[in-house]
Parts: sequence; C-alpha cells; structure tokens
Amino acid sequence: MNEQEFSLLTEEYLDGTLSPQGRAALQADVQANPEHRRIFEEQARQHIRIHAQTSRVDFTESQRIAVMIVDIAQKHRDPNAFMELLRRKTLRERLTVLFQGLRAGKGTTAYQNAKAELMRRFTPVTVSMAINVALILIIFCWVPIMLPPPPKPEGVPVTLSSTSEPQPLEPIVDVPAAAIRTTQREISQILAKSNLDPDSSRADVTAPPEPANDAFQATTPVAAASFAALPASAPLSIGNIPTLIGRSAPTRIGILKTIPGSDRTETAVLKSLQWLKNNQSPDGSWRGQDITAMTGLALLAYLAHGEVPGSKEFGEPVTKGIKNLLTRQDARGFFSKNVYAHAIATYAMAEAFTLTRILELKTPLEKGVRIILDGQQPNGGFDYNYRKEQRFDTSVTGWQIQALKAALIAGIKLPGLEEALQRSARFLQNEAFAGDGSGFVYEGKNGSTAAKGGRPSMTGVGTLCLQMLGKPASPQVRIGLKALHKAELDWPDSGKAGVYSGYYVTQAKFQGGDKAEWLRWNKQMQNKLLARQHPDGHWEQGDYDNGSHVYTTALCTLMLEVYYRYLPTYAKQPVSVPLKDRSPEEVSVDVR
Amino acid sequence: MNEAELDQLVQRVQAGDTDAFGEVVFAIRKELRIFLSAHASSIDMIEEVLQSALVVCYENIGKYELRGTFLSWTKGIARNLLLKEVKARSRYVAPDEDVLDRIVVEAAMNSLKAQDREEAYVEHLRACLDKLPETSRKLIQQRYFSKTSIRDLARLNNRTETWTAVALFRIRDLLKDCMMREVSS
Repeated sequence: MNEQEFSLLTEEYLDGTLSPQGRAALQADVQANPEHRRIFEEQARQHIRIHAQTSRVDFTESQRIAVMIVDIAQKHRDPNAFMELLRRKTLRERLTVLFQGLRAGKGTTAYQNAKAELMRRFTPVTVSMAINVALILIIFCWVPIMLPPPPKPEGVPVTLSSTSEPQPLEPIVDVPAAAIRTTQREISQILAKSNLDPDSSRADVTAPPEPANDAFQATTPVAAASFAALPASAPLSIGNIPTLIGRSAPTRIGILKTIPGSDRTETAVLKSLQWLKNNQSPDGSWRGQDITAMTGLALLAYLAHGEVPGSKEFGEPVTKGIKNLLTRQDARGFFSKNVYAHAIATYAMAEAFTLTRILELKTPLEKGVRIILDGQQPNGGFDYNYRKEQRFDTSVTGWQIQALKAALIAGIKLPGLEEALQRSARFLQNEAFAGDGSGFVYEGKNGSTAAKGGRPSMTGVGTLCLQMLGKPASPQVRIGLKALHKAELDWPDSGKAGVYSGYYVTQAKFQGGDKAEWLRWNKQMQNKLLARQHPDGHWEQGDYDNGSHVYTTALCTLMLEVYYRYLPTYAKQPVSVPLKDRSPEEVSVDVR
Repeated sequence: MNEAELDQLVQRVQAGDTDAFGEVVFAIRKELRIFLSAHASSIDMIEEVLQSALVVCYENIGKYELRGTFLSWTKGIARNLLLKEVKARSRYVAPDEDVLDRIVVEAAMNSLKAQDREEAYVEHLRACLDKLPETSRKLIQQRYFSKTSIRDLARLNNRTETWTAVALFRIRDLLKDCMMREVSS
C-alpha cells in the first residue's frame, strides 16, 4: 500500500467512515509494515490529543450538566431510596456502605445517606453512640473493608459453536409483484409460541410494578442508581456514525425539509412522544403485553428522535425508562425471559449507550449482548427461549439481529459479535429465504434451505436485516424488495392493523433506494398513520396490541421517524465542487 | 481561573451552593478533557470517562481539602477511571479481533506507563497549535473545531481526499515534533 492510500484509509478510520474493505486492507498493511503500524499508532494518538485541545466547552451546557448531577444526587439522599438500595445487599455489604459513608466528609451524599439510615434505625439518643461505636469498628474493620470486593459474575460465557460453511445459493426466480397483507392469522402464528402473559392485557397503566420473579430478581440496583447521577446531556458520539447523524436536531430538521408531508408527520411524532410520556408508569416502565418489551420499544421511539436524558422535553421519560430497564436485568444478563423482550431491551440499551456514552450502560449492554451471542444457533438463526434445536424462527431472529447490530454501532467489542452477525447474514440468505423466491419464511429447519412459504411480513424482516448486515445488493434483498413492490400498510377500518410488518417494510423500502417505490409507500403510510392517530397522540388496532396501545404507538412512531433514524446506506454525498487533481507531494505544511 | 478562585467555588459547593457546581464544571471540563487525551484510546472514551469523573467529583467534593489542588484532585479521579477503562477495553479487544483497535488500545496502555511524558506532551500541544501557519491552522480548525469529515473537508477546500489526508498527517507529525521540542526545552 502506498503512502497516500495509507494516509487516506487511516484518516477514514479516525473519521469512523472506513469501509469493511478499507479496514481489511489497512489491517493487512499495518500488520505487514511495522513502520506503517508505528505511524498509524502515532496518528491516532495525535488525533485524540488535538480533538481534546480544540473541543469547545459551553457554559450553558456545563450548567445543565451540573444541575442534573446535583438534582439526582439530592434524590439519592432520600432515605427511602437509600434503604431500598441497602435492602438488596448482604449484612456485610450494608455495614461497609454505612461505614464508608461515615468516613466520608460531612457534606457528602454518602455521609448524609449513612446518617439518615442510622437515624431511621435508632433513636436520636443512640445515634451519637452508634457513630462512636461505628468509628471504633472502622478501625478494626479497616483492613477487611479495604479488601477488594468479590468478583462479580461475568455473565454467561460465550460458547459459540463452530460455524457452518454457507451453502451455494440455488438460482433464484423472480416472482410477480404482490401486495402485502399481513393477516391476523399470520401474526398469531408468529407470536403463538411467545411466553407473553395473556392476562396482562388487563394491566392498569397506573398500577404499581408487580414483584419480580425470584429467578429474575433485579440485581443491578447500584448500576441503576449510579446511572441516575450521570449527565447524559446530548448525543455525543453520533458524529462518528454516519447512519445516525440524522437524529441530531439540526440534521433532523434539515432532512425533514426534504420530505413531503413531514411537517404533519413530525407533529404526529411529537404528539406520540408526549402520549408515551403521559402514559409511562411511575416506575419508568411502559405497560402492555410484556413490560420489558414495551419499555424497550417506547425508548427506541424516543432515541430515534435523538432524545436523551438531558433533553428538555423528553429527558425525564428517557431517563426513567433506561433506569427501569436496568433494574429488569438479572445477574446473568437477561432483561426478560421472553426472547423478543430481551432483544428489544438490548436494542434500546445499545442505542441509549450510542447516543449518551453513559459508562454505566456499557456492562449491562454487554451482558445482554452476550446472552444473544450465546443463544445463537450454529447456523446463525435464533428460536424461542434461545433453543438450539432444529427449528429456527425468522421473526425472533430479526430482533436479535437488530440488537446485535445496534451493539456493534455502539462500539461494543465482544469476541464473536461480528462473526455472529456474519453468521446471521448467511442464515438469512441460505436458510430463511425460500427457494421458490417467495421471500423469507417464518420458520424452518436448520441446515436446509426453505423450499417455499415466503411471507410478506417475514420478507420485511429478512430484507431489512440483510440491508443492516451490509448485504443491500444481495439477490435475496433484491427479490425481497420486489416481493414487497406495490405493498401497502395494512390498516383496515376495523380489526387489526399490520404495524409489525409496517415497521419492517417501511425501513426496508427506505433503505432500498428505489425512489419512486419509496415515495409511493411513504405517501400511503403517512396518510394512514396520520388519519388513524388519536387526538391525544396514540394509535390503536396494532396487530399485537393488548389494549395498552404502547405497542402500536411505539411502532407507528418508529415508522414516522424513519426519515432520520438510520440514514440510507445507499445515500451518497453530492459532490458539487470539482476537485483539483493535485498531487499530495504538493502538500506543504510547517510550524513556525 | 486560578486555583484559589477554583477553591472559592468549591467551598461554595461544599457549603451547599449547588449553582456554584455549574461554574466548577465549566472551569474544569476542558482541562480534564485535555488531561484524559494523554491516555485515552478514543475520543468516545474521553467523553465517557469525563462524565463519570464529574459525577465522582461531585459525590466526593466534601472530602476535598481547600489547598489549591482541586484540579489535581479531579485529575486523580479521572486518571483512576481512565486506567480502569483502558484496561477493560484492552481485555475486550482480543488479540485477533481487530488489529486497528488493538493497536490504538495498546498505545493507550503504553502511554499510561509513560504517564508524565504523555501528560507533558498534551500540555504543550496548545502552544504548538498556535504556532501553525494560517493554512494549516485552518485545516485543523475545520477538521476538529467544526468536526468535518475527511470527505467534506476535501470538498470544502477544493482538494482531493488523499491530498487532505496527507496534509493532516503532516500537520500531526509536525505538531508531535513541536511537542517533543517543547518538552525537552
């Protein structure tokens, strides 16, 4: 590789815009050329140093960050909240927290908390005695307290099976265009094996949270509490991720100016986000057929709009929602027993981490990702309960892929993550895609290509996932889009509406690059969604809505956020200015 | 803001004046960011650790004794958090996982071994940036102040991407030379 190519690829790496091919080439080069490796390392270090020197510090933003830290820290002083935190600890851990608090300065939160706890437990007369005793105990306990805590469980070890080699594709036959109609029966079949609680449809949105199952007792109260104190003021990292930059407010506004009818859709999105805010449970969750899944979907709707904990209008529901998800994760990393809900929660956690870079979200996210990686079948698919038997389920697989891809975008670097996504791509191309070219099937047997049975909704799933996995030009995507040609969002006057399918098809068509077809779909999708939105901002009738309307509202919102949620991978920057074709040798820089 | 003024602000925070904490954050953010850049393996890591450091700083501000060393105190917090993060990141990047990311993380790990030298480098970088001629400084401003991608930067300056990349390489090299000269002098 010559110096110019090397310089350009390194610069793209620093930009976060390096293509997979470019990355492979640069990796090979730095491995083969020690001098290039040294230069690469030095350039990367300098890049970081210069960034720090040149970054602006805004006074208003500093104030906002400070206010948030102070506000949350004061809430931590609430004795009830602190007791709740202590309640989950062992006696030894409780004593350690109290003693550490008393050792801290009088103005500190830890001191206030410890004092409040002692006040609660003892009468004022005995408090001073207790403090004196505690101080004596500190002397004796100093050494054991200072010992490092026992190692935390690291979650389920990843034991991926060896990958199967992809089978050569059978010739694919184009099929005539067909309208998409997701039937109730189809949706019922998709969800038939779900573990969702059928009685939860009667759940009261305002009801207090139900006690967690013992096996899934939340085990991360400390993580949740410490997250609460963090100043996630604004999207910090999306500038490095080209497909996400549409979520920043200025870019979003700019994009919307180019979308016909977007003034009305954006109003609808804001009304919907307000409805979700008004219908959030006091504990931060959203109710529905599965609380974890609904909380994840609602969060995704906010995050797609670029809303983060520091946002003025919707910062609070985002904060509460993320905190609620954190408390739902068990020690092994499961956000839920339900395979859909776990993936949706992990997806939301990944997007939250991408947009906020809150460090406390990283470990729960990684744990969630590990569960999915560990649950992947050798051929790359997934099934209910992460079973690894013969059956695969494309619908379940779709949510797992979205979660893993979001984790990759978030910068999570777990062994096997990229390989798992590659395996899923091979699975979708070789096994979930029906041999008769009818699209993607709902279920099948691992190790063999489905002969027939492609369904429109699953074709949306498979097509979008392959686009996300870097296969937008594959024959399966081409035929998938063709099968969805002239499709319409299924929204009858009465009965169930095909929002599950609509969520996928909207994104697949947006990413597909067929402008005329996209404009056609977009127009009818906009019209139907705007017409069906209730005055308070919510939608009903979704094919999987149990009466809380969170499911339908979240998915409809995500449809209307498609314009800026993930920018199309096919989009190219217009080059309007002719470039001077000058040699890099002419570059001359010096330092006075 | 000098250390004495900073201590006055901290004293107000310790006395319960929460508004003063905003001024403290404003006063130390940039310094902390530059400090963290001496060892961080990515720009994202700087921002992540910076946020965590500010939280720890506030929660423990009562422990700080007013001796004109508040910035050093917060740098100590930031350094500990960064060390933890770099070590964790080095564990995530498996040997064969991603060569490029591994190189950057290893460089960050090595920088921690030469802590004083690296921190001295970043202290002098500002002076070196000021010494850049106008054209080079403009390129740096576009690249970093305005956060312009290499593609947009090339278009903005009516150059090829390769030319722009080579120019940035050379500017960074010159800045490195300048920093080394400053440190040794």
